[in-house]
Order: sequence, then structure tokens, then C-alpha cells
Amino acid sequence: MHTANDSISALMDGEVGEFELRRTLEQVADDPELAQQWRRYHVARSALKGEAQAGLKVDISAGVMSALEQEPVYHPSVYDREPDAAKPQKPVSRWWRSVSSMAVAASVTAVVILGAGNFSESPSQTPNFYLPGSSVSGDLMRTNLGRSTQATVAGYESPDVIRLSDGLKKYIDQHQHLVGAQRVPQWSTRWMPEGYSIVRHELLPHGEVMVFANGRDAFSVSVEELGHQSLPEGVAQADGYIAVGKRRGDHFVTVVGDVPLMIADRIASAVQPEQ
Amino acid sequence: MSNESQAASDQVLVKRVQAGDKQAFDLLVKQYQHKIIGLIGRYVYDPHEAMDVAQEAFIKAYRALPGFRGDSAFYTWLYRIAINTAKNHLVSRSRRPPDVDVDVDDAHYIDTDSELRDLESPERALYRDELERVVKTTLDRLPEDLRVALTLREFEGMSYEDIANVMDCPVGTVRSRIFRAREAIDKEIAPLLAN
Repeated sequence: MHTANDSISALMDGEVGEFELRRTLEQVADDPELAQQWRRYHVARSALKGEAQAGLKVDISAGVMSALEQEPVYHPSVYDREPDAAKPQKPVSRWWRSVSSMAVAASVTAVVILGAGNFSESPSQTPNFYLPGSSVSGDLMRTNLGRSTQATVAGYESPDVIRLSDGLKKYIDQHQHLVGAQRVPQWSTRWMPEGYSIVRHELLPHGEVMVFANGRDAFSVSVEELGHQSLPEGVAQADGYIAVGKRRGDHFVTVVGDVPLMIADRIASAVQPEQ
Repeated sequence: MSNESQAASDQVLVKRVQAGDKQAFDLLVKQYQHKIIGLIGRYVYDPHEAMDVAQEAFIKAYRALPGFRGDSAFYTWLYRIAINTAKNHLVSRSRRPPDVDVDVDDAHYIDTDSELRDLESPERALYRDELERVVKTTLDRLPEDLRVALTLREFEGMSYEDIANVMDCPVGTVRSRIFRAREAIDKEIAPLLAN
């Protein structure tokens, strides 16, 4: 069993395994003296080779780390995964996934809109909602809206109706938006990779989505009011796509696509309100 | 120490940062801060200003780290960020950056007659000399097995396995000897480096 001091010496030489590395970093995090020892070991190495310079006594690491407290922690999945050559990302399948995702969203929207329509039925009509008990999820809440409406759930009858939860409220907002007043795009990006151009610009209830393509690959840029985004700031990777989320004032920008992380980050940084 | 083994050691920490471990970046800062401050000090003459610029350079490096793929050594990459940060700082203060850059390979050995000033104060130069003297004296006084192990590591850049072959002992013994040698030196320089 190695001591922590022994491990930081070996770490300096790149002679520790993954397990020892993780353990050593944990120990350094818990013991500031170990971190200082690491610093002194490096100063000694420089001095030994006659490379010592000014600023040997200075330690700016606390200031740097304090400034970085608000910075996102890089998501492990981005780097832990090796490129998977066996699963090339084909544009056709990507587009199909996009289309299928939109179809699912549209279906949900349609159901919601139809459901909302039922709420506006005249009082003389008394619709019954027959829902299998197993399909009642946490997203659906029962509430008493009066005697005129009745729902039946798998043999259970009550004078309740099914009310949409807050999670589905966004689709009502979307519906109201679609049938409401027209808006003009408020956001654009000052920079995009060479060869790409904007192919779609959708205005949503709480933001906008821009899609850029170069004929082969595509990426999308979502700008949402803060609080409406699905993810915190940071980076993630899934299904061959990079997703970068960043705050821009009181808005949140998310870039998703099959582009290098650095490019996605640059695009996100280049998004700005239209002048 | 060879550049290759240094780069391999850095890469281990860089990967940890990229995997979400900020603590690993703290070690990289502690490892390179004196070199980066020294480098920036050749552009930004005020020591406090130089420290601020060095801090900014490390923050920029952290932000850019997702894009670092290890095509060059980490220090080379960090060095470029530091130089650019220093130059941008001078431009933002309406001061002209020097026309001559310090080459990354020569950054440690820059001639003081260069157009880039070496702004070490006499006190700092004395302090640096004293530190180097203590380190080298302590090394000379170490038992031979410790001194040889550390020398082969630091000056020849040999791996623990190669040193074990040369010294005809187990790898674990090499590791222990190098650690004990560093401990002995650290004991002597710790008071000098204390704030």
C-alpha cells in the first residue's frame, strides 16, 4: 500500500495506474498540504535542472480554482467514450431520428389539443374518459372541476376530470403560440462553421430553434428563456451527438449536432440577439 | 526529465479534467504556475499584473481544455495560451507587445540580453539561486542509491522499469528511492517556499 506522498511522487513521473490516480486526487482534495507538496516537488524539479524562475513563492492556484467554481464540470461521457468506428453516423438515420422525434412530439401535442378541446364542450354534454388504470401516470392529476364532467378510470368512477400537469402545460403554450400572433426571429449566430447555412428557424413559445446544415451534416441551436431549458450548463454526448449548453444573459443556448465540441462551444458563444 | 515522460504525466491529469475532475486541474495549475508566471513576466513587467494575467491564462486554458486532444504537449499548448493572453493584455492596455516571442523550447533558458526583458529583481534572483543551491546540495548529500535513482529519473528521463534494470532492483524499490529522495529535498526547501 502506497502512501499519498509516495503516490504524488509517482504521479509526477506518470507512473500511477487509473485507480491510484483517482485515489490520489481524492486525497489531495482532502489534504491541502499534499497539494502544496505537489507544488514544491515541481519547484524542486525546476530548481534541480536550473529552470527555476521568478514567482517560485507565488501560488495563484486558489484564485484560479475559485474563479473556476462557476465553470461547468466537463461531462465524463464526452471523453470516456472512444470513437466507435463500428457505428458510423449516417445522415439518413440522423434525419430519421429527428423526424421521428418530431412525430412523437406532434402526436403528444395532438392528443393534448384534442383533450383540451374536450374541456370546452358545452355543459350539456357529459363526456366520460375511459382510461386503463395502468396508464395513469404521475403526469396526470385528478381534480374536481364540477359536476358536469366525469372521468372513469378502470372501474373507478368519480366526478373528477383529468387535468394536465405542469409538465404538459408547455404544449398548451405551444398551441396558443401557433394560433396566436406572429413573431419575428429575435436571435441569430455571428459565426458558424464554413459551408453551413441556416435551413430552418422556428419560433417556439419560450424561445427559438435554428437548424444549420451543409448538405451532409446538421446542427441545431436552441435559445430558450432561462428556466425552460432541460439541461444545466455543460457538455454531454449521446448517440454520436454533442450537446453544449450555455447561459447567455437571461437566456439559455443549447447547440446539438455531430460537430466537434470546440466548434459547438464556439457556435454557442456566437449566438446573440438580433440588433 | 524527458519531454515524453512529462507529457505522459500531464496527459493523465488532462484526461481527468476532461472527465470532469476539477481537482486534477488544480494540480496542473500548481505544477505550471511558476513557469507561466515567469513567462508572462517577460511581457507584463508589473509582478501583480503578471499574476493576474497568469490567472486569466489558466482560466482560458480550462475553458479551452475540451478542445485539447493531446496533439502537442500540454505545456506547449498552455504556453501558447499564456503568450496570447499576455499580448492581448498589453494591447488592451494600449501597450505594444514585444516583436520577439520566446520559443517554447527556449522559454526556460532565455538570454537576459534578449529584447524580452527578464525582470527578476535582485532579491528574486538571489532567492532563486539560494533555492537551486539548496536543492543541488541536498541531492549531493543523499545516499547513493537515492541520488542515482532520482538523477536517472530527472536528468535521463528514464522510466521506473528502466531504472530498475539499470540499478538491478525491483520497480517498487525504484519508486520508493525516488520518493525518499524527493522527500529529503522537500524537507529542505519547504521553509524557503513558505509564504
